[in-house]
Amino acid sequence: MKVKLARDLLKANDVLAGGLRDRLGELGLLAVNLIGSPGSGKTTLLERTIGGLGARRVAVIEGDVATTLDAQRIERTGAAVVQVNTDGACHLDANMVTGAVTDLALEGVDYLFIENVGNLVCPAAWDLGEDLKVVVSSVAEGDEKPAKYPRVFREAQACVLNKTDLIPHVEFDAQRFTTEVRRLNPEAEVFLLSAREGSGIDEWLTWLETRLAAKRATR
Amino acid sequence: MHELGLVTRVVETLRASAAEQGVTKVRKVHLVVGKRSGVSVPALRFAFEVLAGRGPGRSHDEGEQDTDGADRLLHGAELDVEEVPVRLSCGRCGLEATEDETGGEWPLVGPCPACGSLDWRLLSGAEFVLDYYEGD
Repeated sequence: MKVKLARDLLKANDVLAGGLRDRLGELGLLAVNLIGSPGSGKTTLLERTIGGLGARRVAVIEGDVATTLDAQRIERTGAAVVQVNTDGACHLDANMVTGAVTDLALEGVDYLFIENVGNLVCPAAWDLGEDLKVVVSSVAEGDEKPAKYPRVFREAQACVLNKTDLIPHVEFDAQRFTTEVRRLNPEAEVFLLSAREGSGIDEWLTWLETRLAAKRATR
Repeated sequence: MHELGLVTRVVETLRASAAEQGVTKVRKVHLVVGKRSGVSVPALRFAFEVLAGRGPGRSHDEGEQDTDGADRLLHGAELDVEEVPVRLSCGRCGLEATEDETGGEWPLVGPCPACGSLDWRLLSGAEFVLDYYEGD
């Protein structure tokens, strides 16, 4: 016998993500999905961002294959955090985030940062109900990353180029990197910064505040 | 890119449906996979073979020391994959074209070959559909 199912298994994620987006929208917070390679500095950027946002209330979902190392770092900043271990999976999906959101008290929170599993490929394909996707790249990875992993750069609303303090020590052409990002995605904001040293962080924080205000204005 | 996870969901869905329909043996599974779904068909086949009990590490005979219901249900099932081409539509000039018609450049990185706009959307090619299965 033939059994017709016609079930789009990727769409199941989109349906969940849509529900999540509605729920986060009602809370009036800005949800940011941070995507980047392992070691690009996503957690350090978060630590610096949480410190820089001052009185804003921040919650963080940390996605990693294993360990609670990142959640422990975020905890020290005073932000609410929940660690999701994917136990092998290469990305977060909307189902994992829905579970994590239940564990966080989000009333009164201004920003929800979702730090995805370190990976430039898979996370790009999974909608988490976020408002913004931000790709975090670092100079030590090389300036050809946008050309090699176009999808994530194309779908992000902003690109953070991190570790600019290392430019003198690595072969990195910031102009080439920026040009390539703009070719793929003319509307993306590009922030050149060093999360460790703090240079360039103000522009990034200002942009976040602008986006939060814009979201709240449309409620 | 994450075929094992996807195939696990295929197996879960099949298991639930088979139980509902009274199917104890799946013969054939038909999937519809978009070329821009990010799913690699060889990796998908490999994952299916492993989960259906034919791949490395799962080469036991049917029924022998086999306590996994999904395993027995799927053992020896044929995986049939229908690939769907990428088809795009330009939001500015209205051009509709497949990946092949645009030389393969458009869907991934390039602007619309007719008007240069980046405001295009995918009409097809992103799906991963468990379409039907056959069994007894």
